[in-house]
Amino acid sequence: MMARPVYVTGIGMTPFRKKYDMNLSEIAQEAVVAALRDAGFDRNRVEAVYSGSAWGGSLLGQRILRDLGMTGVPLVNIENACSSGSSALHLGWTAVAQGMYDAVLVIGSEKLSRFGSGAIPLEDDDHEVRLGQIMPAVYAMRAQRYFYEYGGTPADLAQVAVKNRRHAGFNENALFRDPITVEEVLASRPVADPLTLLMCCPKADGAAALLITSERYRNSRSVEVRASRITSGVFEDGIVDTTVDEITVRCAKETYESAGIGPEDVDVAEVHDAFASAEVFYYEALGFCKQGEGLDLVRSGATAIGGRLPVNPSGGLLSKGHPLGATGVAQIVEIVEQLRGEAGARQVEGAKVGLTHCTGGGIAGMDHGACTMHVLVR
Amino acid sequence: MSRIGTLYSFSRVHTPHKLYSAPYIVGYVDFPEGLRVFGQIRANYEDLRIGMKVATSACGFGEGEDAVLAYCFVPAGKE
Repeated sequence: MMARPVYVTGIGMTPFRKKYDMNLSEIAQEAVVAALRDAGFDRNRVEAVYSGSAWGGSLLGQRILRDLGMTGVPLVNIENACSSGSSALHLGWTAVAQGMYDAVLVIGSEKLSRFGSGAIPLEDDDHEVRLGQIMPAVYAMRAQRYFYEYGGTPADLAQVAVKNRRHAGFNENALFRDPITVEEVLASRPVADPLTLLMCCPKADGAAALLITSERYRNSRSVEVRASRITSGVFEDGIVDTTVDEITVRCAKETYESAGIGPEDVDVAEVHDAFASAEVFYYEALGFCKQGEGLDLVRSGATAIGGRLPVNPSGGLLSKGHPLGATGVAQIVEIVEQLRGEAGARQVEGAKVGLTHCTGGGIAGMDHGACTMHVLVR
Repeated sequence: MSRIGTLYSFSRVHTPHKLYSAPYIVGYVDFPEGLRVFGQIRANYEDLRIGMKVATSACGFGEGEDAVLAYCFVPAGKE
């Protein structure tokens, strides 16, 4: 396929919060208006809209756009669990790359406060779920096996949470910003051993939006989206190594090939740290270090702001919060700010190549239901 | 299928699925036929080790009208 260059020309997001009193469409409208304002773009010139949300309900995109007077355009609502927003971006990117449109709006939004406390519900038609499976336990068992194979302790995992919290302290859109210590992480309430509460991402409400354009509407602050890849989970019920995130390994290979770069070229990354252990697995799956060396990378400080390859400078899902459908779009907002040099106190100096990675969903027999990755270049 | 398998990994759950009360233990068990099976484990958590042999058993879950009998795993020799 001959693809045209695609740019993020406008970004907008709401702060991620425990609970908004506004309804979901109102939250999302704030992000849409912010993205259009950031681009200095007339809302009537948006040619198509892709709206991602896991639990936003029927016709969310129409509900968001009706009150903004942006009706009558091609509009698709997308559900792909935690990858809903990044899947919406993938569809918008593809449409612009293929020459269908010159300006599309991508929205990711979620209101998880409707569920109250506890882990997000999984579908009961899954036999593991009926037997008591919960998402934190999936990651906890991978972490236990990782310790068995490669060594490591819960205190090592706690360092991921401490790092991302420190980053979030510089991000006014993050849900949790007060610094935490390894001791506090370990002493927090157990969720699924060895994971404690502060090693698990908090549910949140929030929204993010992007104006995606072709060269035609590119401006001096536009950032190119060099690659956009999506894939779905492979069913495996045999004896597989769960410390290797197969879906991320596969998606990363495609993404690096598509972008014409390797992991060594990445200056800054936003990865799907739904749990502290997940971030470590993704270092390895994304090729940031060798298999089994993920905890060494955390301990070395390489993935903190100021290190060789800062990961989750926004605070990540662990501290910024995880409003599922909004997450993948907010990751792009962070990388665009980094590549524009507009990230303020959390700026990664000289960042020119940024990567986002967003997985989606828990389903028996698969690492995850979906995985999306993007490479942005300035 | 073999009744005895090897514990691949496990975790003690403190935030339960709505059908169960915490804490309970879940795990993956590898069987010689090349199959990995998820299930609950009835054991002292401190006694569990990755790589140990576990046996398939039958366990009661829930109470009253919700009570069901389902497969579960127990340390081999303790069934």
